Parts: sequence; C-alpha cells; structure tokens
Amino acid sequence: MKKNDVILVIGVLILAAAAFLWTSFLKSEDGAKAVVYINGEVSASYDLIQDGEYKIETEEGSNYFGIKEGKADMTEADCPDGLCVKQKSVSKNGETIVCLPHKVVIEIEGGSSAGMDAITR
Amino acid sequence: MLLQKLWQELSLNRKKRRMKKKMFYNRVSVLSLCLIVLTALTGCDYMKNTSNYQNTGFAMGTVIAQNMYGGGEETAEQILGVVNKLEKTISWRIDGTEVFLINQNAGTEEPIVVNEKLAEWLHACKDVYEKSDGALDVTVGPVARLWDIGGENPRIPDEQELKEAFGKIGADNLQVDGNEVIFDVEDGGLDLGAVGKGIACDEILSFLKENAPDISGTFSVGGSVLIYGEKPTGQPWRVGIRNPLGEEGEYMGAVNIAQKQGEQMCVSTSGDYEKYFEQDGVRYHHILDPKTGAPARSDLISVTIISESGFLSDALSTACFVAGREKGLEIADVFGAEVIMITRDKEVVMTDGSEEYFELLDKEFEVKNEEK
Repeated sequence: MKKNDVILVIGVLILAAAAFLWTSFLKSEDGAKAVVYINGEVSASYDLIQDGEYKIETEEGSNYFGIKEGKADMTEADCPDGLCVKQKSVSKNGETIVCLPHKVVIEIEGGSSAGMDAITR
Repeated sequence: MLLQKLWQELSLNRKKRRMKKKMFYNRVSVLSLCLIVLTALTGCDYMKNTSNYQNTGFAMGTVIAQNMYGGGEETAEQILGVVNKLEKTISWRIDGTEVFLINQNAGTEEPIVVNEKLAEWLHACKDVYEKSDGALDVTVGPVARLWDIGGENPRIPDEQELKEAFGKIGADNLQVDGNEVIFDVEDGGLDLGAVGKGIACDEILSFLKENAPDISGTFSVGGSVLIYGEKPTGQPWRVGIRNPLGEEGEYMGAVNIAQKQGEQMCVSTSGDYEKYFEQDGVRYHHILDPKTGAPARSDLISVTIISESGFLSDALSTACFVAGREKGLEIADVFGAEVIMITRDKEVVMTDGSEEYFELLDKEFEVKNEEK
C-alpha cells in the first residue's frame, strides 16, 4: 500500500474513533436534572446540583418545589388533595413527584438509577 | 522489430492499467471497510434499536409512564392516543360514551348496543363479580358518588342516603346479551374505575403487538403496569411495590419478571393509601366494599396481582383486597393469577408463583409463605 493509502486509512479510523467517543459521551451519566412537565409537556428543567425554589403555574393552580442537597421535593401546592406535597423527595433517575389535579410531574432524569423499570401502586 | 516494440508497449500499458485498477479497487475496499466500521460504531444503537426512551404523560385522568427500548416519541404519542380512545368508550363522566349512555338509560329497559370489546369487558366484570361473591362490583357508582373519595368533597354519607344508594347497586342488574346491554335499575351507576387501568394495559398490548412487535418496555397506567417483551440487557424487568405504610417512592419489595419477545405480564396493586380522606383519626379509602357500602376493612392493606391479562390484574387486585386474605387467595386461585398480599401486621403473604418473582427490600415486612 502506498503512503497515501495509509494516511487515508488512519484518517478514517480517527474519524470513527471520534464519532464513537462522541456518541458515548452523549449517552454517559450526565448530572441529574429535575424536569418539570405540565400536562405532558416539558416546562422547565433544573440541575439538581443547584439549590433553588421554584413555582409551577398551571391552569388549575400552583405548585412550589425546591431543590436542596441534590434532592427535589414538592413544598407547597393549592390542589384539593395535597398528596403531591406528601410524596418523598426524589433524586434518582426515573423517580417522580406527581400532582394529578394540576397535571404536574417532576421527574429526575440522568444521574444514578433506583433500579426500577416501573412502580405498581 | 517494430511489431515487437509495439507489442511490448501495449502489454506494458495493459499491465500499468491493471495495476492502476488493482490499486483503485484496493483503495475503494479499504475505504468501504473503514466506513463500515465507522457506521457500526456509531450507528449500532439505531440499527439494533436498543436505546432507552422514557415518557411521562397524562391520559384517562391518570399518569401514563412509558419506559421502552426501540421506541421513541412517536410510539409514546400513539400509546397515549390508545388510552385517550379507550376513555371515550368507558368513561362514565364523559357525555356520549357508551358507559354514559348505559347509565342514562338505566331502568328504562332500553337495550344499548355497544361495541364488541365493551360487551366482552362487561361480561368479564360480571364473571369476576360472581366468582368473587360480589367483592368486585362495577355498578357501585351510586354509593361511590356519595363518598366522593378522590373528588372535591369527600365525606361520610349519612345513613338514609347510603341506604337509598345501596338499592341501586348490584351487578346482577347489568344484563349483557351479545352486544346489547340492559341496565335494569333506576339511577344505576356503572363505573369501570376499578378495572379501567387494567383494560388500558390490554389495549396498549394489542396496539404494540400489531404495530410495534419488536419494541419492549414497561407501560404504567396509573400504577397498573404492562411488561412487554424482552429487556435488551437480558435482565428481568423490575417493578417496585410501593410500601403501603410509607411515602410515595418508597418500595417494600419488587417483582423481577423476565419475558421473551412477544410475551407480556401485567402487575396491578390495590391499596388503602392511594386515594383517601381522614376524619377523627380514621382513614376512609376509595376501595368500597359493595356489601357494606363503606371502605373495605379487612386484614389487608395492599394486594398485588400478577397476570397475563391486564383486566384480571386490575379486577382481582380490587376483589382480593375487599375479600381479605383467605378468600382473596381462593379468588386468585380460581383465575390462575399470582398474588402478593400485605397485611396490617406487615406480613407478606403470596402464592407459590409469586415467590419466584418477589424480592423483599424492606425488612420491616416479614414474608409468610402460603400454599395455593
């Protein structure tokens, strides 16, 4: 093989390696985020690393949730049953806090997994 | 001599051309090889369809949590569509649905023609009603409306109104003949709330089998979970069982269920912690005992049913919860379903089949094995 051929082969292999690393990086464990869904649509997303308090406004009412020490928790809500506030704080991939009357879901994406594919209740 | 020279030159040219051709093909094949490697490394996921996609949405008044491999947003939207479509048949709240019309014509002896599927489901509801000795009764609507648990004004009904509503319940009044339904009681209230989520799981299953047989995943309709196909990692699917005495997100155990592509399993749970109100220190939960017209009081606080049928998993979780430990085990046995019961004393009672799946995660609970 000529020198140019070798250069060509090496070039393509480098490209392949770069592409592989890029796609792996995209799939790798990112910092965990709390993603807020209102009626199934993403409304906001917050890094769990950053402490903060947030308000979620919906047509049916308001919810307040806070992020502290890497966990998200529903702190207040004006929904009729208040069940969402009673739910425990979440921090692992796939965990959720749900306010059914307001159609609000806070879901953790990324980070470590609790190991469950689904929850029956 | 000239001829020889000419011939020599021609052959040399031919050789050069052949060599050039060879080198060209060499380069092309090397390049192709590299491109194949490149595609394989990056496109692997897309070709094998094993990347994970999760979606949380709302339909039929509850949360639909989808966790699938090989599918994406489009499949998720279609599945939400399947549940929305089901609601338009079985919701008693929405004007014009077949269930709504059945209730509207209750007591008039007017037969309502329903679609084949609904007729089947109503037959199945009656079957469970009979075999559970009335523990599951989908005509309990009038009584449920009084309590309004999970609604805006939950309260304890007074004796008089409860007595009146009582006279309106009883699945015997529901007559299903082919595709015709006669609801033979005035102000009857057919309410498929106790089986709707399980039926949704079955509808999702039908959709997947026909339109997406190669994907796999777990699909939760308000806590009734459909497990479909084989997890790409080869591991069993892991479904957490909520700790009935803990907060949302706390598991007391899990069921690990492996499936092959094309197979399914459904898991549903009924518990006294899902919807309730408290008054004077007493909890009034939403699973009514059709015989007393009040929240079921037995030794059980949670019942999980594992069955290939979504409808049965949902229907039996309610029936067994109401019936209690002993009768509940009998009922599950009649239908060939596996059950995991949690008692007030934090004991976990289950059938042999469940033992294979169940994994205890919270040692506060004690597993007591029961023979089928």
